[in-house]
Amino acid sequence: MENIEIQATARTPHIAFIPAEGKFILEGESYPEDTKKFYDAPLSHVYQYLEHPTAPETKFVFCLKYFNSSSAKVLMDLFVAVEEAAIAGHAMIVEWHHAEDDDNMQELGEEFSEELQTAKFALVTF
Amino acid sequence: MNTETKKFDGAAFLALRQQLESRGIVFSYCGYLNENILSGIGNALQSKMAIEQTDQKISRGIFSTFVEQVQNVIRYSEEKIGPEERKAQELAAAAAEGRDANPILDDGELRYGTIAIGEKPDGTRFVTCANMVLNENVARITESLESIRGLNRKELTHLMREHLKQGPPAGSKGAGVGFISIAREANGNWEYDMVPLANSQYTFFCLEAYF
Repeated sequence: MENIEIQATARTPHIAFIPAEGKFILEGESYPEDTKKFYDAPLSHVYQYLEHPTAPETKFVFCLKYFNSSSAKVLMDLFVAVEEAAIAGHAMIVEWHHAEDDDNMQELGEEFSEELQTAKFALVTF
Repeated sequence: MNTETKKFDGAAFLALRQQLESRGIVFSYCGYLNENILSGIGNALQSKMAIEQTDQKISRGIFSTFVEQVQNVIRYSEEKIGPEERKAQELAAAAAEGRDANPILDDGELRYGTIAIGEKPDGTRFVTCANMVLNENVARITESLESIRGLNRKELTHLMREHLKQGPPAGSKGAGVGFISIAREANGNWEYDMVPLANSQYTFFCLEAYF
């Protein structure tokens, strides 16, 4: 499976996916003009990977400064898929990074992590 | 200058500006909106708050609310011009002139809204947004807003996850959690109003969030 590398813009985050290393990164701001159009193609690869994860352990790193409500839906769907892969027996780790003083982003991470029972979840401050 | 021969009176325009200023409005836009305008005003708003060293939490809340409010206008304002409206206009014009209709290119849609960001004398900052909605949708929007009235940020965060899991309601063009997101950012400090227009199918819907 090919790597994904999408550079950040003012309204869209940096997306990196390295299937061989089991690493996914979403970083920056996310309020795309067309959320579906922006995320559909890269995430279809990630969803495909989650059907049959090849790395011994897969890590999802979220390092977002801001995301709008349409992007929240994308994140929620991804969390659900990660949890499903974990339930299927694959080691899954989700890291939610937030600025130290950003309790808003921290609360969103904590709330979304309610979806994760089998997958591991960690809050990381920057 | 002889005022009697003056073709353009800037004083009236100044009065409009002063009226906005008297309400503490720092940023305002009234007209057709699209995503590019959202980007442009959003960028200026972020710069302004950075220059003034606005508290990070407040500036994040204001910016986030601004984005949700403008995206609500872009998705739902009933005053719009797009390919469908222009096609209908062209068909009507062609029929009236007895000719074939010209093809209409899809070069985007614009929706009309009003947005204002400012500060009240007591220091409370506000993000206000308004657009026309159909009278028949007023009850649904009212119900949706009343259902989240009085909820604090924690409760709204939880509700947002529940709604995201359920999926968007019929007719939603986003995640269906825009109002919850705005209420959440404002920690429950928001108000709305529905102003009916005389002899019209439209109601002026205003939503204001405080920081």
